[in-house]
Amino acid sequence: MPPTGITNRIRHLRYEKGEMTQQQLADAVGATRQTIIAIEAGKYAPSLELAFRIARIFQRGVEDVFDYGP
Amino acid sequence: MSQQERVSWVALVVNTVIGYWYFERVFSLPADADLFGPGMAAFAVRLFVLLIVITIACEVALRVVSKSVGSDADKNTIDERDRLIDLKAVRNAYGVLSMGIVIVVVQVVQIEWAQRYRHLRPDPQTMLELIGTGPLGASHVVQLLLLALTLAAITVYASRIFHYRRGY
Repeated sequence: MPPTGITNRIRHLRYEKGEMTQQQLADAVGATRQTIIAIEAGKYAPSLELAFRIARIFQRGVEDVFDYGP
Repeated sequence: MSQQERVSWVALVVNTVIGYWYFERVFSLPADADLFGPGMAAFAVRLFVLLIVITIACEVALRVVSKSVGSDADKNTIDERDRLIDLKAVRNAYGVLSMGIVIVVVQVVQIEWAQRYRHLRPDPQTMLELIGTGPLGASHVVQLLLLALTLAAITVYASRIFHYRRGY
């Protein structure tokens, strides 16, 4: 379990979306690559706004991308 | 390592080295030295200018190196995580500064009481001893507050690095 308690499928979804790079995702959602790295590793829990923006890039719902398990 | 973290490392090193240089000199001065005198003022101004010049030069050098290596292709230089880390770092620095001010006030009151009730210690030889025994003047209190400010600035950069290393 990551320190934030939030897991995600971003790495898998990037792969599905034509092996999208972390930099491309960062540019698309208006974040830095370091933030995408931290989110993927479960070290940083994004704001609701950023979570929605990431989900929209993959054309999924937020719950399809992020999950919370205590 | 992000550009923000690199800049924080530079600022931490520069502030620590210059802060140590300044206070090492101030605290080793004779107890009767004039801290508001022209010699001390010139030294303080020289160090302050040096601090600004070195910090700017290092930041510019870092940006040039990052661009030439192509390691920092981010369109967004600052995002919500950077702002959150900044807030946490400033909160920690606020705690250090508050603690520093409380310690200065307690020290001034403690010395005042010691003098009033004649619990005086032997004559201090250096500025560091004087700060422990008194009597303190306005210039000594200013130096102690400057020390608290310097420690708060170092706390900002150290906290930023800690949070960047941790991830948030």
